[in-house]
Amino acid sequence: MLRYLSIVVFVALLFQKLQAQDSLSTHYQGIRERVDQIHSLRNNLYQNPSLRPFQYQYSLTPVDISYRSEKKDLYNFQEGSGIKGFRFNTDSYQKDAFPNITLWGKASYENIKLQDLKFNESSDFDIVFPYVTADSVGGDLNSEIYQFAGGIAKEIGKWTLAGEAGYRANLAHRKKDPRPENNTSDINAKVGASYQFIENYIVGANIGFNFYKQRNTLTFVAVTGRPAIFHFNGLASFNSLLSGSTENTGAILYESKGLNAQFTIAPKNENGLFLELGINQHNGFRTLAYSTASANDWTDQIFNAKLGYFQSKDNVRYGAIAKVDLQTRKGTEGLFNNDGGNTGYAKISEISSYRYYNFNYNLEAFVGMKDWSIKPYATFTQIKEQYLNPFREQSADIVKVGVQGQYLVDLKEGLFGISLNLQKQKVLNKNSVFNINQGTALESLLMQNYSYLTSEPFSIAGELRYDFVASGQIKPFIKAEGLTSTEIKQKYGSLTLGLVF
Amino acid sequence: MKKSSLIQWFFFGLMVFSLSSCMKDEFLESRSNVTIEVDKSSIQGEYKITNATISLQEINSQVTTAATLVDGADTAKTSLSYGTYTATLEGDISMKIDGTDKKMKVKARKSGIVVNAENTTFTLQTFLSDPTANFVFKEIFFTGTSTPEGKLYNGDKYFLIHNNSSDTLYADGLFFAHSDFLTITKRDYTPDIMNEAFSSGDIFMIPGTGKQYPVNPGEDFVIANNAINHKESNANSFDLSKADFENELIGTINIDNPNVPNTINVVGNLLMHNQGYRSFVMGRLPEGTDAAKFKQDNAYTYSYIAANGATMKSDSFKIPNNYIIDAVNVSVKSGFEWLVTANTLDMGWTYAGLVKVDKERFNKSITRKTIGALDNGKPFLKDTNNSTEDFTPATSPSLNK
Repeated sequence: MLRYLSIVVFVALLFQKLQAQDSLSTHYQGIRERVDQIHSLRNNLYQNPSLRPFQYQYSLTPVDISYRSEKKDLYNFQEGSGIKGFRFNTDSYQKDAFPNITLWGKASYENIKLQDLKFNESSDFDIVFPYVTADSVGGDLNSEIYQFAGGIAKEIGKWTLAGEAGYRANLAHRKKDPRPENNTSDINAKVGASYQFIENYIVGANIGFNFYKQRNTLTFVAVTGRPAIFHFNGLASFNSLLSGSTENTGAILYESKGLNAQFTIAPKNENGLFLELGINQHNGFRTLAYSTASANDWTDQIFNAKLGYFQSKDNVRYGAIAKVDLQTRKGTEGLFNNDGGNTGYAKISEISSYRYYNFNYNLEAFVGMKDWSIKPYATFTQIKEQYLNPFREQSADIVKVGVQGQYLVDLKEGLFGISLNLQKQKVLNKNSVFNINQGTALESLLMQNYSYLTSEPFSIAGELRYDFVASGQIKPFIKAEGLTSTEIKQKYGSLTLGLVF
Repeated sequence: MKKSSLIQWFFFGLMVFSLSSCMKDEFLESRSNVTIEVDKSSIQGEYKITNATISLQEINSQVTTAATLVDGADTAKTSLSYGTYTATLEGDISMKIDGTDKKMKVKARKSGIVVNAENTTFTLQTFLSDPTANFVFKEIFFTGTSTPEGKLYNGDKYFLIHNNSSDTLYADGLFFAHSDFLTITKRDYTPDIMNEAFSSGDIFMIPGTGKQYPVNPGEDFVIANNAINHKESNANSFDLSKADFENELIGTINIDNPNVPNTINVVGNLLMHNQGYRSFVMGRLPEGTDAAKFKQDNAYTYSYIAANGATMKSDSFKIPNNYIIDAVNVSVKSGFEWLVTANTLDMGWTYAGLVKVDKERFNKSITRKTIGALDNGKPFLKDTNNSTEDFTPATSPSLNK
């Protein structure tokens, strides 16, 4: 761990070296740019690497350590009741680090505990679902996550050429039965180009790829009392030939390759119309120790679009953004025959048996002055998940309506921010067909996850942040966040201490 | 760029999304037309199969599909989704055995049937199953052999016991007995208990803890008088040193092979009658009844009036009929007078010798007939509780090789 922490610190210091000495007002401007919710809303749209030079006006390198704790009473069994742990993080952005060159980088180390997992012993659920290794016992999963990323953008006249690459590793384990040991790695890279085609407007495009791997093993030390191990195929269904064993069945391997592309039209400054169209597709597979052939293959496709308008006039800032994300995941499962061959079970056919749709439509508007802003928002989400045989389905149409207010004020010795977010979730339609024996643990899994999916919590979240200058180059900040929800009884809190260079 | 062109882009984007935003992708399943050929060649004689259903379970999903075999048909057809299947057939069979119908089950099973083509054909090999099947006498070699010098030789007699069921059975605790009464001499024994019990003064039992001596479906075990290689002392005899058990005979003729477990004598010493005048039964004592309790509860004193008018009394034991799982009445072809078992145990009798004191009787067995095969291909033997029909008389002993 110390090795990785030292890398994080090294990256942070490297960027600090590159940075010129800033005036105090510039420093606070830079912080406002990242903390102010209207700025953040706009800046988060500039993820295309060739747009990064236009993302921020000020260079900044925060280095922070944070602790967070989350607990929910009602939760998705396979995602756990909450995450607890600390993170060491730096996220640097250096505008004109060299002439016409913008650099950015990120390094983080997380040591967290995913609490109360059940029927999921695999890591990175959002990537590999629904094809997880499962048992009814579960427990907390300790995870160490290392992440490094860096990018460079070069402006040449009206053109900007850029590229970025990143690496993420997740090492997870549990020290009591059942004992998963999951090692994952995720490599990604993007290249992009943008062109200023009229004054204040840039058109940009980027393409990227990612390559993901996970090695998942599950072992037991206890001689007695082992639960059955399932290899899920969706909505708690499993292949009977490949599941149910209490023996250590060897490594489960996941691999996925993804491509993504985005097309963006964006204003160079903070006024104007923003449009983005994107597609992200990855194809993955899982192999079990029983056979060299893949047990499952899946294709995940996300189309997204964003359309926004930003304006600042007479110290009044206003605007709106609409976002659409349409995710479709289709999975197939192999059918096998145990013919006694040397290469394990023979794959004799496969069936397309799993569907997952997550369609998100989001609308946010905002208005504010320099110190305050208010952001009402609404999200409509349609989720549908189906399995073929026995037919199982769960679906829900969910509306989230909320408003977030923020007050950001310059004090004599620092910058103080407070924000409050109120949100209500409402389920408009819901449906479930599980076709499963009642009273079984797998039924309780499905019922629990469905209850969580269709819950209607009201949540209140707040954040306090104080940035100040201790002396010279020592510019610390402290941030506290909290959230509480009804119905699912969510309690979240975090505390971050950091330095900004 | 004009705002109008941006809006055009936006609508283009919406069009792309609307194409992709369908939540109704049909699940497409590949299916195969399946022909199931039912091979009945192992069933002998006249029979009729009814109510035959074929269950096809896909082993990955455990989804089961049913098909029906039409009465009298040799093939069944169905449609299956792709997968690896285990097929099981089960039906009723009525077999015409010696003029009467015996109802049993006909079954078949085949696993690892790969269905991944447009058309699939496979064959199910049928076998017979009798839910009441148990251990049966497969062969009783009671005549012994004679030596080259023409002397009697008793040590090579044996029982061959067959597991006629589709389950693994355990020989532990099986008892064997022969009758006090002779099938060649009908007498009016009093009290007459034959409808309730079998009278015997010579009973032995297989040792064991209960699951010490498993016998697989369709397999046999041998109980020899003396489990030795009889060829060494009698050129007309054969090797029984590989027998599974050997009887404890009276001291003068008992030769113990230490490598073969001895049976336990419950009552007397069972030395099979070498002309076959006595009938045989085997069975199990009920749970909680050991040899001592059996003897205490089942002492039987009977009497009969002899030809000279005297009342003859004998002490013996009675084995309740419900303890008995198989019975064979044995006699001689031209000397038979009566059955010494209840009709419910055996309605017939068989023989090795043609006449009393038949000097040709030596080296002859009685052997149960085979009428089909069990699921593992081993013989399914005829057991109608009528030894006349179930046995082939005067056969060559199968162990004389």
